[in-house]
Order: sequence, then structure tokens, then C-alpha cells
Amino acid sequence: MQKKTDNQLMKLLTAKDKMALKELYRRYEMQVFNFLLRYTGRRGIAQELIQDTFTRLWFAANTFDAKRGNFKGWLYTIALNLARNEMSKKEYTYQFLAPDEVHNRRQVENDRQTPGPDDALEQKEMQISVNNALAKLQPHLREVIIMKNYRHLKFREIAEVTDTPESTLKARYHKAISELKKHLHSMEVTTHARNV
Amino acid sequence: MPEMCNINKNLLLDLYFHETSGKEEQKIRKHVEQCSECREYLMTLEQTDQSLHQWQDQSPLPHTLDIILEKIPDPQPKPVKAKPALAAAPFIKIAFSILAVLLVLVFLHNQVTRFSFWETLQEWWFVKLFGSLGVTAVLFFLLGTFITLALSPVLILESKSRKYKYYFS
Repeated sequence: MQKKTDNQLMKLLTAKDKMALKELYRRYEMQVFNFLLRYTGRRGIAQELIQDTFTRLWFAANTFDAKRGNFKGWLYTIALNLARNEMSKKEYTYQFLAPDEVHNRRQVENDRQTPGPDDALEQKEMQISVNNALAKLQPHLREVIIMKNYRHLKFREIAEVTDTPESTLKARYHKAISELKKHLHSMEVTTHARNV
Repeated sequence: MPEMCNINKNLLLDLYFHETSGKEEQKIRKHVEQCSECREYLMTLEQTDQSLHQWQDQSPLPHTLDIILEKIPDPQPKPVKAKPALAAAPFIKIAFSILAVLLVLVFLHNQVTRFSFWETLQEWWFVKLFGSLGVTAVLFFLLGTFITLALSPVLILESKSRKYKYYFS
């Protein structure tokens, strides 16, 4: 099963082979989960969405056409659509700081009181900063950054997943970078001031 | 005050993410060597990329796959269709078809023999050889072939248009 290609596994999945689903999950769990985590900014939601993504994969396996595009892109399309639907719900719209982040922030504050390695503390703070900076981006900007910087998809592949022209995606990327730069810089300044 | 650079920033993205062809890459690199603005932009891309990677990958909960598998129903074995009690059903169909053809032939034979020209045809060697029913059968099949050939262009065009409709849909 491990030597089979994604497309071969998809054929088995069409025939309702659970082992094929297990293998595909093993291959893509980290990629899909972290994509969802960074898109939603919430671990709990990412956890639910990864379940939905692979459940949908099982039920929609027969709609996959290898001639139209690769499996990875198709899987990301499912995950992205689910994440978009979830985040379009009203309750998430104005909530930037996720419960996970609040927990992390408290943890950082606690760590600051007890002596520990500075690097680890800095690492945690930076992680929160990145999380917050990504959360402040508009969803369509965030998804390009995540797919490009974390998942290393080519612009052509992102265009397939999002059904958006490459030129539009690049324009979004430029905008996202300038906003991220601004957010990350302001957060670094705040962190530095607090440390001083 | 540095001069404003007119290069399409998308090319810098292609360069940074290695999505350019060899020749194009050389051209852009040459430009970047001389342009401080582009170098600064590439630096921004790199710094942002580094900052973003401070948020490292995390794992989903270990039992996630079990939850997914619970949501998926066990594949049900396909119900085996019970064979019809009469295993000879296809043969019965064939026998009925042959009987129908024979009935049509007899009917046609009766109709043809009523015409006056039939009497003159009786002297023909072909009729003597095959008999009147045989001649009717030949006429029947000739008529069938003629109708099929006459309709074939229409049928071919119809099937082709259906094929292309499916292809473009």
C-alpha cells in the first residue's frame, strides 16, 4: 500500500478500500491539518475540519479525475472549501485572538516569571505574533500565504485549488506580504518594549 | 533618493520561489544586482518567510483517523441478484424472435402471392430454386438492408453529435 501512488490509492478508494484511506491520511494528515490550523487559527476547528476533509474524500472519491489535476490539489480544494464555509459563519468573523492563542499567551506570561531558556520563550512569542498577524489578514490573502509559504505549492497549483488566475494570486501575495510586514513589525516592537 | 523600479514585481516572486525558466532567471538576476529596490523587496520576502516559519507544524490528535473511520459506513456487500427461475430465458427470447421473423415472412409471402405479377415470376429459375417463401425471405432481407443503409448517415451524424456534446459538457 505504501508503494502505491496517490492516483492508485484513489482508485482503491473508489472501490471503498479503507486501507487506501488510511494510507492517504498517513501521507497528508500533517499537511492538511497545518493548512487548516493556519487558515482558521484555531486548533479545535482545524481538528474538526480535518475529519470532515477525509470523510468527504471517502464519499466523493468517485468524482476525482486524475486528468484534471493532481490529487494533492484536489485534497486542498476540499479542505479549503470546508475551511471557507466554516470561517464564513458569523461567530468567527470578528474574533482575531483564538482561545489557543490566549492559552499560549498565558503560558508565555507564566514562563516569563519562572527562569527558563530565553530562546524557547522568544520562539513562543514569535509563534503567537505570526498567528495574530495571519489572523489579521483577509481570508483570501491568508490562503495564498499559507499555500505558498507553508505548503510550498506553485502559483499554478494554487490557481487550480482556488480557481483564481495566477496574476490575481500574485497581486494578493504582494498585498499580503506588505500587510504581514506591517503587522509583524508592530508586534516585534510591542514585544521588545515589553521585554525592556 | 533611489530611482523607482519599473520591473513587474511578479517576476521577483517567480525568482524567489524558483518558478522561472533559466533565461528569464538570468535576466531578472542581472536586474536585481543593479536595483536596490528589488533587492530590498527580495529581502522582505525572505524575512517574512523566516518569520512565518517561526510557527512550526503541529500534529492533529492521535485518534483522529479512528474518528474518521467511525464516520464512514462499512462497505456493504452488493446484494447478489437471484437468477430467474428459468435459466433458459435468453434462448426463449431468441426462439420468440425467430418465430416473429417467420410470422412476418409468412405474412409477406401471403401478401406478395396475391399480386398478379407473381404468376409470371413462378417461371423464373430463382423462384424454382428457392421456392416462393425463399424469395420472400430474400426480398425481406434486401428491404431491411436498404432501410438500414438509407438511415445510416443520419444515425452516424446523430451518434457523433452526442459524442461531442458529452466531450464538451
